[in-house]
Amino acid sequence: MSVYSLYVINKSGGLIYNRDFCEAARVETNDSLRLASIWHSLHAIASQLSPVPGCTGIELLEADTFNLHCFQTLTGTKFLLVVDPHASFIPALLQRIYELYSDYVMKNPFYETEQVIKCELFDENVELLIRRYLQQVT
Amino acid sequence: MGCFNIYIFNRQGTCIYYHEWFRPKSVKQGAGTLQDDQKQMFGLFWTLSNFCATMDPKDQDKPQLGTPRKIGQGCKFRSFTTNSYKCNFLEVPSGIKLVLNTHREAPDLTDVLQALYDDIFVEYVVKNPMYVPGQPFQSEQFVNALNAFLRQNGLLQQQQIMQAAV
Repeated sequence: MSVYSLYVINKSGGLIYNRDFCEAARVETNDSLRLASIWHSLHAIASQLSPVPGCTGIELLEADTFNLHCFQTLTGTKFLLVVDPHASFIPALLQRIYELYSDYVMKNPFYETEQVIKCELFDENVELLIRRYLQQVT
Repeated sequence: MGCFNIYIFNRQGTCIYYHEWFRPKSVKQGAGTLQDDQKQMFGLFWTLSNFCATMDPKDQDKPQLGTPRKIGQGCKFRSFTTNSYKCNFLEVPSGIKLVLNTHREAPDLTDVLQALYDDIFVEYVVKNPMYVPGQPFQSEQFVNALNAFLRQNGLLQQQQIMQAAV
């Protein structure tokens, strides 16, 4: 599986959405909450330590067995996608996920901003998007 | 284009070497003092390494977040890219950590960092009989060899060579 998991973090650093597309990628709930908050702080520290002015935070993290792409919106919401190191077109995929978020979450009249996302349509469409992406790349 | 700065940390987290070539955003605007900057950099890498080991999707028994992690255990973190710079990291088995900040278009520099450790750090620092392992050091030979090596790899332009700021 090229795409392992998706995390959405609100602007205060709290995890509001977590979806694993692969069994091996499963992280315990408590750990995933902590990981999201840690990411939020690291994102901020990386921009503070930048040797060049105008840094907006970590966009890509490369490790041995996975890459983590981060897309930060203008409102401070972060979309993290854990993928295989050889995956391609991930920034476009993240942009599509953001479009699904704005359609099925933000436009949902019962959704409170900065709260946990519990929107069925968002889940279904994200699943569909990832499946279509994986079909296209394999 | 090119390198911005380099940090070398020992096992305990003390920065034993720091050199900058080009740093438009001064330390005062960032962390405050150079010592704070180095401490924050170490903390950043320590946390990112633990983060990567816990997030690893290919490891069957990955460590839980918060458990002490031995050197070399778990998925190793290599680099992160921001919109303005790329930070490359290498931890060698002895615990020495090398951090190199470059421009964001740089390719994967794991081999370059490994060669930097093998050919430059080991040759000019570790093999120096006056050097106490784990202590901060200053060595002109090391600086010259470092500059030559990075220039050879296309990471340093002529006009970027500045005075060492240790």
